[in-house]
Amino acid sequence: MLFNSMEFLIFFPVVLLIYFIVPQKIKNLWLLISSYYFYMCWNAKYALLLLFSTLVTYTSGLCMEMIKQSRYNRVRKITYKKIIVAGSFTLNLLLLFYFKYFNFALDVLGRVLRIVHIELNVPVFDIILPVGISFYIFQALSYTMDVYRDEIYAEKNFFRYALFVSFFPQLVAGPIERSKNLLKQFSEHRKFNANMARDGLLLMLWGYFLKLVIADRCAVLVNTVYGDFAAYHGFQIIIANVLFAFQIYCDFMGYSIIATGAAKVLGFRLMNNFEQPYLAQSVKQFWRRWHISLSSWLRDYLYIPLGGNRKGRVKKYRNLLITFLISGLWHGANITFVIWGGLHGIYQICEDIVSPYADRFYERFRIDTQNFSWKCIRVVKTFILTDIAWVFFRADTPMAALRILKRSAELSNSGLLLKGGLYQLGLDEKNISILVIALSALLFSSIIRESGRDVLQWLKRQSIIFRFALYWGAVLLITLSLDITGQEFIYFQF
Amino acid sequence: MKKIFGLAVKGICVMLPMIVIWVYTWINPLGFMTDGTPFDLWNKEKTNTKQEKYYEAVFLGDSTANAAYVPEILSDASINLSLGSITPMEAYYILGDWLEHNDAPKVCYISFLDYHMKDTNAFWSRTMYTHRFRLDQNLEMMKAILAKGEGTAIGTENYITDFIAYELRLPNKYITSLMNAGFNQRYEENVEARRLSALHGGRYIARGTEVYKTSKTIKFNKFKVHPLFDDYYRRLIKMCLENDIQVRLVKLPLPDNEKFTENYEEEFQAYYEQLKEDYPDITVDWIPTYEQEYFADRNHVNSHGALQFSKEIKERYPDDFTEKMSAGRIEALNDSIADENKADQIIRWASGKDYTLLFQDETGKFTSVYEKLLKSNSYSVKELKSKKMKVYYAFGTDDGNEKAVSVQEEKGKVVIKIKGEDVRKWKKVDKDVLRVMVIDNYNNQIVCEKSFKYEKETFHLIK
Repeated sequence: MLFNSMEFLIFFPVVLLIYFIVPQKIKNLWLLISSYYFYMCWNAKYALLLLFSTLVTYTSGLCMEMIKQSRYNRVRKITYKKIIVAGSFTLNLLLLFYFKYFNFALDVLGRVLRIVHIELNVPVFDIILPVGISFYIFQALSYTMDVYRDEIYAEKNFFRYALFVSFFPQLVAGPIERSKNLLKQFSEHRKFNANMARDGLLLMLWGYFLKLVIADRCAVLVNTVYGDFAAYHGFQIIIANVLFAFQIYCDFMGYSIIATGAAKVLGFRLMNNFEQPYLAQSVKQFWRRWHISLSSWLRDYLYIPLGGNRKGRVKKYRNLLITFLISGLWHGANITFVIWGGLHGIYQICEDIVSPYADRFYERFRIDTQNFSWKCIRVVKTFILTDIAWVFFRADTPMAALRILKRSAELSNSGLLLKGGLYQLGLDEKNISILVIALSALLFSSIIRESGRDVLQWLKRQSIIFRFALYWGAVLLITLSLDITGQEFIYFQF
Repeated sequence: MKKIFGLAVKGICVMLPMIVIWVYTWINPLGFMTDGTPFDLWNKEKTNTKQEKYYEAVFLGDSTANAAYVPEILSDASINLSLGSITPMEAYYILGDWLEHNDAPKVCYISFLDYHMKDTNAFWSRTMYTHRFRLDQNLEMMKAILAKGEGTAIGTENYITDFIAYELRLPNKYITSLMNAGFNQRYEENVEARRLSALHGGRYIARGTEVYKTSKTIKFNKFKVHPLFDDYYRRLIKMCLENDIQVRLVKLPLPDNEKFTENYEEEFQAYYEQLKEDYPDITVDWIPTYEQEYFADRNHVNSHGALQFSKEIKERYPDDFTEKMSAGRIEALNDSIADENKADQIIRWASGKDYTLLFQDETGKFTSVYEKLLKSNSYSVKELKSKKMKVYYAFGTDDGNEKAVSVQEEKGKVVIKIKGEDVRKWKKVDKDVLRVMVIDNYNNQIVCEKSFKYEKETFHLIK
């Protein structure tokens, strides 16, 4: 069930209505049933995987809690806990590996063996990727790790824990919640809060705006160019690449915001997944602002356990590279995602190496790097670097990505844009105008947030006429965008 | 409770633009909906109301039938209830509506393209979109699709929500039309299309005299009928037979670049032989191909093809079409004639009817090209005695009635006097030009006046 589908627009009010009618005791049970129904709308059988992952992590949490309470000595306790964590990780990651990476691994194996002249006839298994598997498995594993690290107590109530893993607003595309934040909210007493509901609904409206008005519109142009990139070059490809950056941002952030909004209407607070990533002044900063729930997960449960930046430069770079390669692989079983992740790792290593020299250079020539123009230059530089990486993310193969980059450098057609060439890329004048208006709105909201203000609070302080002008503008643009919707959220495939 | 109510009111206020658009889709469908809509709405209105006159022949089918059966040629008491993109499933409900409100016709002609016997590409985008059918009919169709529609394009993944969205006219299904129509810019053309549909007894005339040209040969290897459509085809036949309606199944002609293999012919014959065995009273006709010039595209006949086909049908079954022309149908015929781009086709449209055709010829080709054609189409041709110009006039019917047209030469000009019309004077036309005037003797009016230039052994319409 997509957030931008009719089904969800029927499902959500029904869930909401019953949720606030039923007694407190069964509110969680109702949400659990609703969440499983939400997941089963896509494929009923695969709810078993969700249940399996829930059972494994729930049991491992309970076992670790029992060990904590036991009379074993500290070393034994740690050993047993490690065994349990390893078991939980192995089972969950095996599940993930089989459904997401099995065919990819066989393909890679076949290619490697071909290099040493061994022909391996590897059949391709018909495995359907369960939607959201990477998200809920990572969320469940974070719980296991948190219990292992004694950061939380294991949850004894199975239904409450199952709801934590399957909570429908963030089940299939995050944010990947932490037990410290979300799980405890399921124990709280909840009743209808009009302010939260209003804020949640406004967030949902903003999320739909991002998805339907910007992301889906960008998708038309991007798909046109990427679908036949040999027919385009120069500015046409550059525009497609820039718009892909906004497509994936608005698509994913749109989902996250709808999820946050839906949860808020129900009375829950989900973590913030984005902080104006395209206003980042370095790639390192970009990753503190982009898909925060995943990057913090990887930092806490992979980068730091690998040693983080505590064991010297070389190991720090190794850890960085490993983390980002895995981040790439998490996104999809394709070498293009791995390259995308690797590029981000390399960018950060380069930044880390170059920055001390650059700082000395600025100091030596007394260049003020804190002024607006320098900030702009750094923002543009970071955007260009991330956008180059997005080409690998979007292209079907690494070779295709390289060809796209090569063709984008052929800048002989800049005049085409002035002669209406922009309207030959799948979007007509009307749609380009809508896109420009919508991107301006996005920029405006980003600037407000970047200045440290909460957009909702800022909005509340405005006059009713201005507020309604904005609401109506957004609703009108969403309505006018309904004809180009129906596209899945990109992050569903991960 | 007060807070919930307040929030709901605010929510409705925020959603106002969407609500306004939604209401608009309900109240002004002709303002923005696509060009098939006027036909569907006319068809709905016609079949769901009691008609003043009795219709002896009804034509049912998809867009190919909608373009091919010409009521103004066939009979004054015939009506084309075909609709673009429909299958026997929708046709069944159209006839059902008709019979519910009108007396059963003597005969029903049913024609479908092969494709619409095995699938449909427009159940959602046309049938549901235009709201041609009632909710109960749509529900019955959905039920049938769910039971037997496997493998057809109708059974989309989100059919339930699509169904709800169309029934409720939600903006997600109509916003494309709204955007493309600029909200109300289609109103006039839709109203005009509806007028023309009514004028031509439901026939689709928009393709006019367009000509299809291809050198590609297309082969038909298989003839297959999907169980869902076979079921409805049979239900349609049964409904006719139960109402004592003669059923004529006609496979319409295709362009002559389209060939049928032996296997196709065998499968086609086997299917229809079985039908004939099951329903012995029906007739089956297959008119395989016409020349490409009779087609507007690879499936639809143009107005020349429609004329040719309708005349052929009338020749095959003259007893099915007994009603003579009425004023309403003459208007339709006049409209078809006025739209013509060929002099020989004008002659064919007007043949057998009370028209006077005037020709002024400076090509010297009239007698060799048109006189024979006129005579073979039962015209009586006369030549005006004039030293300066070659003027001929021809009467479509020699019914002995005094014609309200008089043609004579005065002071070097041809003077045409029509009762109730201004006097027309013809000067000599340029060399290589043939001028034609068509006069409707039923209404004493000039239908059209066209000039053709003779070049490269062909007459071309001078625009």
